[in-house]
Amino acid sequence: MIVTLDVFSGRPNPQWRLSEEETASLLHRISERFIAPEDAAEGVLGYRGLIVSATRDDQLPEGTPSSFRVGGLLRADHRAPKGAGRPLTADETDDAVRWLLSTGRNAVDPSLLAYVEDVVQLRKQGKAPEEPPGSEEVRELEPEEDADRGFPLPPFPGPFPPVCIKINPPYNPAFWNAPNVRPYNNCYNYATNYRSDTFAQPGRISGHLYTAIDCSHVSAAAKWDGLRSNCVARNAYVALAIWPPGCDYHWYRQDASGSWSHKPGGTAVQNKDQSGNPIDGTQRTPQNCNRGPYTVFCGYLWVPAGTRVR
Amino acid sequence: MIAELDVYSGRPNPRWLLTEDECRELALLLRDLPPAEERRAGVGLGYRGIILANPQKEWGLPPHLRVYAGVVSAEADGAQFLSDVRGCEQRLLTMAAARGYGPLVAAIVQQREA
Repeated sequence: MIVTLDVFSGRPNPQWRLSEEETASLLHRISERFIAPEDAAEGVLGYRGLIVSATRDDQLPEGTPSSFRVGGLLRADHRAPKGAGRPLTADETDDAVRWLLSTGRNAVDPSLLAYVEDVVQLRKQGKAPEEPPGSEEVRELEPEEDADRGFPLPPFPGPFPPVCIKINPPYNPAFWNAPNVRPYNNCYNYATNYRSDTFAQPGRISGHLYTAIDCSHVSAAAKWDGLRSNCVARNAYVALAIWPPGCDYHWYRQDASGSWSHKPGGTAVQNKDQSGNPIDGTQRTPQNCNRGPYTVFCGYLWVPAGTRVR
Repeated sequence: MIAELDVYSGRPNPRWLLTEDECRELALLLRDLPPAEERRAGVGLGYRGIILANPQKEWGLPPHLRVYAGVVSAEADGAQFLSDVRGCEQRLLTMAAARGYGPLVAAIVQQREA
């Protein structure tokens, strides 16, 4: 998940990523509670809260907005919908804000963090805060810097070979079809279940972008990103097809139900083939379904948990 | 105004900036079109039409148009489907071919005829 410290007006807000462990901890804090969507903030200058955005469609419990706000001032006219859970108390919110800020201590300038801490404290006392420090350099984490922050896989017990665990995500098109997600993420983002907002290309994040569009080059580039021919530990299952000669590639992913779905470029996610038939995983698979011009079927690959693309 | 050939799934779609003359020509081709009989918009794999992005709303055109299979759809102020009676789609494909996308346009034409 990506955390954005919503504080600046002109400069880009600082952002950082939560590890799998930190994500689990945050979800535990907000479990069954009403969480304000991203757009519920009062438009004030200075600290406006923290925005948390999912990077995968299976990260959030059902009903939780894909981008939500923790802390800050909410609009006066903002109301929780009927039937929504109990909101976090003021103390719980402050505690969540402090904890989220602690996860970003390597990405945010200490003086800015101190300013936000002060604002939280002053608002609690009913006092107006000052302007945020504007001259400090605030940097984003480079991918290589936070690459080792992922959740470590559990150790394998003794001499036994590693077990293959299929962790295909549920079919959740709403996450990908949101207007701020759909145009910026393609079939590769969807298949790897990683929202990068960069129209991800196989091999780009690993510095080994494909040099030709055919089965061997595109799958080799994807393997540099971490995809594998064999299943070791926790993986999702994906399939690759090519539009010959060298026009384009297309990825499908298997969902938790065993059916297959895909995202044609910047268009909406769907679970049907080019003839409009469901790719149910039994009668119809990526290999035998109607793939339109993507007539060359390359085969299947595994996406290890925690794989990122760009 | 920017034209985008909406055709790929993995790679970014081909896009190009239209010249003033091309914009003027397209504005004429798209003026006062009659309503379309069918509500057609490209979906799925392969060719899904040509998108015209016109964020400044120049030339009397809406900010976002899609031209596909004889239908012009405007997606900004509610979906509106108009009939491409003056061959705007064909003209845009010709422009794409002239921009170096000839083999792709040939594949698109082949796909439409299949």
